[in-house]
Amino acid sequence: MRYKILYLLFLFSILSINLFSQTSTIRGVLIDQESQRPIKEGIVKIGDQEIKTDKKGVFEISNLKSGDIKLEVIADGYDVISEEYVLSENETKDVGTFVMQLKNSEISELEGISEIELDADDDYSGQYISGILQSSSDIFIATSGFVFSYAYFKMRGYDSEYTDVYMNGLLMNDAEDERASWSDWGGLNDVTRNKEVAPGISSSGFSFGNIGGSTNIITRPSMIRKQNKLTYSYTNRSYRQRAMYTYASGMMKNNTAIAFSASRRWAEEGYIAGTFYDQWAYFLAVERKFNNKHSLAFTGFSSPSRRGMQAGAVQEAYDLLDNNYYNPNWGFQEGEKRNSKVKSQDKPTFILSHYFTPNRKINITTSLGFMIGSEGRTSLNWYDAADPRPDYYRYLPNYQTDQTIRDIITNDWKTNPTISQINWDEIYQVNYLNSLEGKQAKYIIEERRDDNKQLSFSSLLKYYLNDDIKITTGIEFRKYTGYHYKTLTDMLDGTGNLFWVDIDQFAERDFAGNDSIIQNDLNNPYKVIKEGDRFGYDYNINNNYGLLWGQIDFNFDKFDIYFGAKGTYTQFWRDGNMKNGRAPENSYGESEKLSFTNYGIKGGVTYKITGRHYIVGNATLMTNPPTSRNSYISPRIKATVLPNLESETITAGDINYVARFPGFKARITAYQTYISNQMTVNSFYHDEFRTYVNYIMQGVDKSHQGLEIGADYKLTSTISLNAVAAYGDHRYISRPNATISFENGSAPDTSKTVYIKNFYVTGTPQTAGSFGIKYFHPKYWFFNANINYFGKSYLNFNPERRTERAIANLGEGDSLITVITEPMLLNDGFTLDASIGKSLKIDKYYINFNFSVSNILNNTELITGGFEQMRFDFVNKNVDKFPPKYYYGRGRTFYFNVSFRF
Amino acid sequence: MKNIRLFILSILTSISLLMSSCIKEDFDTPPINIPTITFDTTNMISIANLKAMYQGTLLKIDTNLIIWGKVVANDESGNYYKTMIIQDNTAGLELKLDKSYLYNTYHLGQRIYIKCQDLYLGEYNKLVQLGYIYNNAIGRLPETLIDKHIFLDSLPGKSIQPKVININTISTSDISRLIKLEKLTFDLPGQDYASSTASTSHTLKDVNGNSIILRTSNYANFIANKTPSESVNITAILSIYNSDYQLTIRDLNDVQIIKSFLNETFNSSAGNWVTYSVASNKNWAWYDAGANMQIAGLGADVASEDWLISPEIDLANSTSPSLSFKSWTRFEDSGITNPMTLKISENYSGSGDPASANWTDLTATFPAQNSNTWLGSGNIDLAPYKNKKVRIAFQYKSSGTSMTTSTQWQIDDVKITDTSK
Repeated sequence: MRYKILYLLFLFSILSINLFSQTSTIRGVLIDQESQRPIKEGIVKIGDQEIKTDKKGVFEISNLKSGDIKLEVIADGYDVISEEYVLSENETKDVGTFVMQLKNSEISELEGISEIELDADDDYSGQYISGILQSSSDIFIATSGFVFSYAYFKMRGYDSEYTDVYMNGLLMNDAEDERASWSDWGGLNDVTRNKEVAPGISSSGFSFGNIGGSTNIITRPSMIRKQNKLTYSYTNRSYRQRAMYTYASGMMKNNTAIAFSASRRWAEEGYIAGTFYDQWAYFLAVERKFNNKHSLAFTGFSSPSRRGMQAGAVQEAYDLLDNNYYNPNWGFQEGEKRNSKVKSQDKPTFILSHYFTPNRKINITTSLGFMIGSEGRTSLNWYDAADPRPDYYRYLPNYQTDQTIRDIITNDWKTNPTISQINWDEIYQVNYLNSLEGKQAKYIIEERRDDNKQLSFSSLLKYYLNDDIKITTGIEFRKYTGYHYKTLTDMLDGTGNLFWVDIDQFAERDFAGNDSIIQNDLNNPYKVIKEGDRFGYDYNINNNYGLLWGQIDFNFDKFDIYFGAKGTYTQFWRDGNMKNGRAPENSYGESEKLSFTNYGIKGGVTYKITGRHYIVGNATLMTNPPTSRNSYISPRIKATVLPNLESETITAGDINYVARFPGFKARITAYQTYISNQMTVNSFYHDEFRTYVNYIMQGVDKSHQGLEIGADYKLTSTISLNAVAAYGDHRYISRPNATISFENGSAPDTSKTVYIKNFYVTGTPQTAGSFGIKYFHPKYWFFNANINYFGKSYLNFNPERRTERAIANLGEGDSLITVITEPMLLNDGFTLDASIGKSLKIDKYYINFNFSVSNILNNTELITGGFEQMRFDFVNKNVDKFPPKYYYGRGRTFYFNVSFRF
Repeated sequence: MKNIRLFILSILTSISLLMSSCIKEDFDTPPINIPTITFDTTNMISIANLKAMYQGTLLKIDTNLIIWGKVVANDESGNYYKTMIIQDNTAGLELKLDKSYLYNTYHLGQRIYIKCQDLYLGEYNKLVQLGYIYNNAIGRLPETLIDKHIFLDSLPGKSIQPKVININTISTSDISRLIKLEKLTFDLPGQDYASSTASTSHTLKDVNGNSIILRTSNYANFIANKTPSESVNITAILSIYNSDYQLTIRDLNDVQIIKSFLNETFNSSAGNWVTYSVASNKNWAWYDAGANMQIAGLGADVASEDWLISPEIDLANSTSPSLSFKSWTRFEDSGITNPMTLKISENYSGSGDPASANWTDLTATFPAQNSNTWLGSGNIDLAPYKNKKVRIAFQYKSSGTSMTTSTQWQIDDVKITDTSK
């Protein structure tokens, strides 16, 4: 089969049709690439015969002449497809599925800010995903996923653990923290574009769903549009350049479909100083259709990356350098910028899927997946030596009381990069001098590793009982082991003589003379560590999970109704590979197994007032087990679990009004969600105690309520206007109990009440709006612009400042109480984005150009993230001693993209 | 058609060229930096002369004076905090620096140059210090200024050897120098070097009863160690607090414990020493007037051979034990050059004829014949016998029985000690 895809404009070439008897038939089906749903009322033309697809997207044209024919598929809003076939006499040809791509879908190839990851001092926060959102046809979801990602807007204020991401029916969320990471397949845009989306609480075609929505990425090669495509991008964001090649065969004559994609995204330095970026990606999928009932598809991919990270800094540092993008993580080494914090990952994933259609009413999809992943973050570590971080609070001018000295330091910061950045030469020299005395290294680079192996299985049954009733049911299993340890990656030594000793230096300080408590591994006391060796901590987390769920959908004339239910079983335990001196009885070997049984129910109704007006209501009640990551007080040290481990409970509901006119679409939603008994973990380095501290809050109750509005209005045939707005009121509604654990054992684990009732949920603007204009010229060029507003964003707070101890000894009404406890509201702000693009065809080559500019007004004053430092000056109660650290949204950036398709 | 292919080809080529752009992560290791000073050193002044400029009131040094010195103490153990001591050929000097972990940069034996202009000389209870101004008194040099005044020169070299002196000969010129005092004992043995809450003083006494204070910070990393009961040799920085001299050790390696394996003074008897007479009727005997052991062959029946043998001495856990004693002799034996011999055995049973065991001669200093004065033996190295059980013996011989063919001997204060840790 030779395929050609042609635009409508170039269709009218003369066809030679042999005149034979008109007895042949051709049939097929149209589906939307993004949603994978059938397209009804699509027009299929052969010569002068023309037919519209039915509501299942199926077309069939009979009485065709045998010989060469040319088939055109035209559907409103989609690129035109044109194919040539040879028909034999009396043949009934099934040409299969036409995957239709929305016109100008390439716009979405401009990767948004969404792939930025920030490196907070704590390991687990700061990741933002929005991939789910960009793929939706809903104007609110699509806009908030794309333009709001600049400010890390979280829909309805939910963390990413409330969003589920599937691939071919297998849950891809991390087993330990339940968070989804879109970067696992970054750079494979062309082959991960096919998605089923279940936004929020809704009827879902592939799983029970989650309150933050769920997405199923389908990499079945027969469903990927046939293409040979070359893409090159140039930008000044996280990376500078992107090159990507994709080939997809579609279903070939031999009943095989192949898809291949590879890309690289890279930058010697991204927008932020010292952040290099190097991500490759590769993907291969093969499908074999055995007969009309059975197909088997294999997918394998990975997206290995290494990148230099950014860190938040205090405002004083930003002001000193007059640069809100100051990055303290790097320093010059032999004239090159070396970043001390490098994140790397490589998660090869293999999925085998079986598609089984025993009859027209039943559809069974079964997948088996295997993933073997590694993830690492490097960091400087030091032993009995000065803190090497340039922005350590004692190195800043404000720490000084003497004005002369302050001026000198200020001047050093402004003029001397060995002061304002990491001084690698000094670090090497200190190590060298110690090597002369046969002492251990004072500074090293260590890498904290989070590797894993995962085997997963799912099976999904869809049963169309009749035209009105559909039953969907599925099972999912996941067997997971996470490997957590650290290795010494660089001794920072030119001599080769240095070494490191595996003891806890901070325990050593606090328990001088106690030989056993300071050991990180009593089985290897005072172990001498060389480059590549594991040290510090080493433990596995095993996590087994099973899900059984079902859903029934009723589609009536006036009402669509669905109900769903799920039950899950989760079991996890820790397996320590080291016998830690701070917990000799409770660190080595397998711990007790914890198990949780949970359930969820959901339901919803769509009331079709008319074909133009709909009222939709959804509700759910579900419980979630505590995650294995949150359940251990100090998992790096010991297997102790938190007292009173309980599941969290979620009750959520929303009510929507939807209008669908030919030139006007709108949705208004009011929602209310209660998340009760939530647990949060913050693991951070404590400067004062010089150890990692785990800060776990239990009994966190939150209320998320708000409004979402999205509207799209077609002003003329070429100009449309759109507006979206989100107003949220997301708050804490309880006083959680905090458990604090010092990894060096310098203080016993303690617990206390945190007074944060009615605090706003942080890490997202709760109010956001965007107004946009789109212009689409019939000659295939387009322009659009959006002005965006972000507001009501609160800084991540330090719970310690909201405890009895923080305001102890302050009298009633002391104004300092407010200063200490009040949450910090960040400034609101505007950004303006625009993009322009052009599609053209030269010969058989389709060429697309896109150029987009974000934050055109170069607003560099918008804080989009950050946190109050976890340290608090309890003695003098001076909140400015350890001021917050911020991240600023990027200033003006551009993205230029060109693609060739043939 | 051809053009577009060419175009795509050139795009492909340029992309592949771009893709080869290297993301540099393989950083060169910085070369080893052997620091050298580059400035003019014509305005050098000795530390002694610099200290002499201090006349009792805080002094800002307003001329371009440069001193050099070698680091003799730093903050590594925590006994010093934000302080280090340097020394040149003339004197020692305490530097007050507002920086932690000085020892990572300023190792012992590191030679440094200090540009003294704009620094201050002051005192803390009579201890002269070089630093900066703080509340109109001497304070620490701010960290940011340290690199503008203190310069490393060369890699750390040999440490300066301490000056060995006695407590009663200490003078103010020794302040801030590294000194060594020998054979001191703690007044209160078995105590923590310092309490965990405050700096602590211990009194040390020498053999003549002179005392000096050892001062230890509660931030030192060895405070929980106990003061030894044995006598010690101490290497320390000499300091002063008003009129009292004080010692500050750098770490516990500065406290050299003198471990005693044998300390026989024969004060009241021969103790459990064995005497054995091979020949003659004149034997080793305890001499009450001298409180020592004595022998003389004069007037014996035949020429003498007599042994004085120690009890068994267990040199377990020693590293370099050393033997000493003192001896006295009178008369001259014309027939024998060395009438007294020091011997050691690992297999003597403790009684009976020494000939039944193997004996090895040890070299010791004995007084010349008929010298009539007590003489120390010097330190006799017993390192070959560490961790062994031994007996030592003094073998006396005479060639006859007259005043010219036999000698008289006294032996006293036989000691075996180990001065390593």
